[in-house]
Amino acid sequence: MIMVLGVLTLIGLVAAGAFSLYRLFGERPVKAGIISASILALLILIFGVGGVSVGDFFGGDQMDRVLEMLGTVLISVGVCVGLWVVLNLFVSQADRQWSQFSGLVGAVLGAGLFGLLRGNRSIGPLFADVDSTFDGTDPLLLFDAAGVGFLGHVEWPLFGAIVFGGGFFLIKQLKNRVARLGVAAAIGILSGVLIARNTKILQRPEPDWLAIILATLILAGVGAALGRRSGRLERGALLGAGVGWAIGGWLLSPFQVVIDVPYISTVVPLVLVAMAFAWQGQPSPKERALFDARARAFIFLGPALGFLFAALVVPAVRTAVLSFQNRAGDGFVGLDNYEELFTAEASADVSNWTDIFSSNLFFVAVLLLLIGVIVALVSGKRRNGTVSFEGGPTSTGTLMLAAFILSVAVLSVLRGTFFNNLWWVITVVTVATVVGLAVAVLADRAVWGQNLAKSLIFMPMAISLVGASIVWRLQFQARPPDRTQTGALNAVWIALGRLSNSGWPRVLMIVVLAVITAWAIWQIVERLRTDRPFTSLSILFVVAGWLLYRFIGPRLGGFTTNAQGEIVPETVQFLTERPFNNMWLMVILIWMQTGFAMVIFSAAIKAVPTEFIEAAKMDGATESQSFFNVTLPTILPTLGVVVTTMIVQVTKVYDIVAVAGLNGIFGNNVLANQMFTESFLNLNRGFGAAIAMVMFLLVLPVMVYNIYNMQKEAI
Amino acid sequence: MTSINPMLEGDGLGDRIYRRITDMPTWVLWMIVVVWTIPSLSLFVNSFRNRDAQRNDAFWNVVTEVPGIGSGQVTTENYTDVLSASATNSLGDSLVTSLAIAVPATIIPIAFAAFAAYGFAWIDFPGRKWLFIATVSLLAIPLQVALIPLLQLFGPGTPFGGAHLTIPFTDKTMTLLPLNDLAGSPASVWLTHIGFAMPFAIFLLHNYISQLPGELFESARIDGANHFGIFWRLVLPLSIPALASFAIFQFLWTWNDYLIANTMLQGASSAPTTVRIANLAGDFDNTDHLLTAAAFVQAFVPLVVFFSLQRFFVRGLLAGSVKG
Repeated sequence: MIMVLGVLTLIGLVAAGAFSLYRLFGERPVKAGIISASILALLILIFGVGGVSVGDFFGGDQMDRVLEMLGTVLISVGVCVGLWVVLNLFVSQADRQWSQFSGLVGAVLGAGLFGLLRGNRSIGPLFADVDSTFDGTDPLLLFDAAGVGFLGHVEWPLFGAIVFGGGFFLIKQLKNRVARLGVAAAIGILSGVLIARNTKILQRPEPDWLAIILATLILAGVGAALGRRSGRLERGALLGAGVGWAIGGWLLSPFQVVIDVPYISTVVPLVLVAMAFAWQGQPSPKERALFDARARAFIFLGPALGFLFAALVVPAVRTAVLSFQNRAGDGFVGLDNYEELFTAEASADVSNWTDIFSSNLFFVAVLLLLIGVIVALVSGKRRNGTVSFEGGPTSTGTLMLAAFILSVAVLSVLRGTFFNNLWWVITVVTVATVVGLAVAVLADRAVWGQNLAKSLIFMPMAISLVGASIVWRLQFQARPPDRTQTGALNAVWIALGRLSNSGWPRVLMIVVLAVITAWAIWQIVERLRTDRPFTSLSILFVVAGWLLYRFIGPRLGGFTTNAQGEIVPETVQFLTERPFNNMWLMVILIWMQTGFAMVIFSAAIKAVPTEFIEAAKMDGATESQSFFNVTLPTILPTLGVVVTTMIVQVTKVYDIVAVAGLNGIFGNNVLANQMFTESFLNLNRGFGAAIAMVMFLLVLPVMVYNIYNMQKEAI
Repeated sequence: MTSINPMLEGDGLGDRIYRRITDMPTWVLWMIVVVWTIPSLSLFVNSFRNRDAQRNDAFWNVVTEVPGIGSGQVTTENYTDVLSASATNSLGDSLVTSLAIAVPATIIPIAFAAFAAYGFAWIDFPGRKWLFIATVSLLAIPLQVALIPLLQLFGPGTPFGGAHLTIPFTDKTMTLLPLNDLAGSPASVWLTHIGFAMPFAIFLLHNYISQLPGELFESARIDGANHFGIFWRLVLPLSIPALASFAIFQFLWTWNDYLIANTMLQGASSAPTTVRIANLAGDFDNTDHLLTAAAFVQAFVPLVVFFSLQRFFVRGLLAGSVKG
């Protein structure tokens, strides 16, 4: 019976899902049908054939937890939105019923002020004996074990709400200024006396008159100056004086174990602030309109900026402070944490820097660089008659490739987290951008299936980084060489090894590669002659030429020669072989980010006016010429956006190294993972904070660039 | 979907071959697509193979393992192990936790960011432009810079969590927000997500809301509507597409998040799916055959969201990146 109900519910759910999908894809019922049919098939396979019953899935306390979750969501969303709506309605009412509104504001302020004081246990219970020996050790609970604690803790906020709320209401009802000031003084004296008498014995300040007078005068002056600008000189001066007196009386005066009740420090500031509020009666319509605009701005922006401030700005500042502190966070150590980050072997190891010059990559990069420079000079001379780089993009691609290979050559030798992070940023951003752009261009010209193709390349963006790491761990798997390889990459690598050591298939490969290489050389020469770009051809030449060399000479692929001279397969340990295990991890992120670049470039390419391209064609430009000279310059701003977004993303890469990179123990650690390990596992908070700050400094230029752009655009 | 034919003069062999190649971007594109899809495909196929098959044979040999045709190693038992509440490696618990994090972390920022976006776009107050730039520039901040203090805020520190303010130039500290029981709960994760989501959410929604026709609001103002009325009755219904875009982003981001959950829920009894799977992945010998099914179950929700709502997703991506 339960089974039947479960199946019926499932069918109902799927039907509802299919219907909503159909509505979403109004114009494309086929797509909706395919998606819902595949979901249905999967569910049937898992729950029907697989034997997981719905009841089993929701067994135990699962259902309770789902209900609890729904309750939490409803309550939190309801409270957030409800409070906001209520605030708005109050401000809407303020225009007509100013006194009531003032009373309400007063009630909230009073409750908040006393709640804060009582919550910090600066003041004792309201109904305790005067001059009690309250020492601030009572527990901060709403209900104590006997269930009577509640009143003992809401008494102060309630008192504050009643006194301030009622008082503010009364003040705004009175037309006479002297009467208003009198009521204000009464409120100040009443609450001030009560606070003073209940102040914790250990927190009673000994008035330091000089400090009090100085602070009062200075802040009164500041308040008056600020108030004058909006025509509220007296209010500003009173408010400033009140705040100044409070600062002088409480913060600048030393706490002493004294019997004296601190009347002076509590009563005067409260009276002054209340009088500042009471100086003016009901505001004029113009002032009310201004108040409405200001209050709305506050209400609309408050929640978001409050969260931003509490969850990002304040913690960031605190992290900055922490980064100069020791392990436990209780003493300053200067720049020690930063010094460790830039000198310790695990984070920045430059000891092998001479190896850069003996690596093959360096050699290739220098060669490409030379070719690029020579080509640029030659073609520049041919075009302008002078030696200059302004001839055009003839060898820009080659030079960029050379720079990229050079960076890989350098960063594969300089070890440590910091350089690994740089390596990640350079490689992932470059490759993902270039491949994304290439795919976008291809998709733009593709005759069929371009939307599906784009969807499939885009799909990894929906998967979690953890999921992607699992996916790629499968591909990187290396089993003992004599077994069947389960990882696709090692399988291909070993198959390649077999091919390059085989008989006639190898000869066939050599012939094919030779033809391709020769064709590429011929085309390059042809294009040099006619001054057309040949970036893709030079890449083809390099790749095909290298493959040809390997097939003729030292062979290629996963194999090794054993003691008997037999050729046996050999695997690559993609995740542990230093330093290139870093690059294999980067492949994962490239796999995910390419889709992002592609989608954005696709839209940008579609937005290039067709007249531009038509005009270029009229002038006899080839496909690639029109791409490099018309499309690319037009989408250059988009390129900037993609690159900056990706730099920010890649700088904080963490999940891949933690999950697929075996927590970075094989020389493949990055800053984010080191930060996590140091702060939360080794509990070295100061060092962790320093790493976080370095990550922040790395993306700071991007931030400045974005601000500059935004500021230029204006709002 | 028209292809642009290359206009090349010349009939040489190279030109002809070149034309052929450039005529075939579709084929190159689909080759890339195949390479791009193989990893996900192998995960999906492997999730239906038993432990022996996954360990000893490659996924492309799956055809020889289908029951009835081959050795019968294709099964759904991985899913049974991952989904039944009674199984030791059940993912059910963590799926609920993931929802408990992702749902509030999606809905609440939408509301807050929509308010703020309207405020920035249509309410006039001094310093608006610079406040907006400051807000949006926080987009680039790596969230690592906020993690340690936030863990202290929610966590059981000394004397307890919460926000404390040490008043400058004095040795006096006061507690602004006492919190001591949020550590290890989903609330600590989604509260963190709300803060981190704000810059992007405000940026995205502001781009949209500021483009709405101002004359409409002006006439509503003349009819006596205030900002609240305009927002509630005009702006909110009009900006549903932008809200949907952001909702998808935020849902995918929070559902897939690992760093924040792993930081806030260390040692907690309830962990979301990403943390659960990462832990499974660390346990090499016993559970690695379940990883495939677990990863697929984890990815199932975002994939459904992604494929069914791709239009909104792409729109949001573009609005967030390509302005104007």
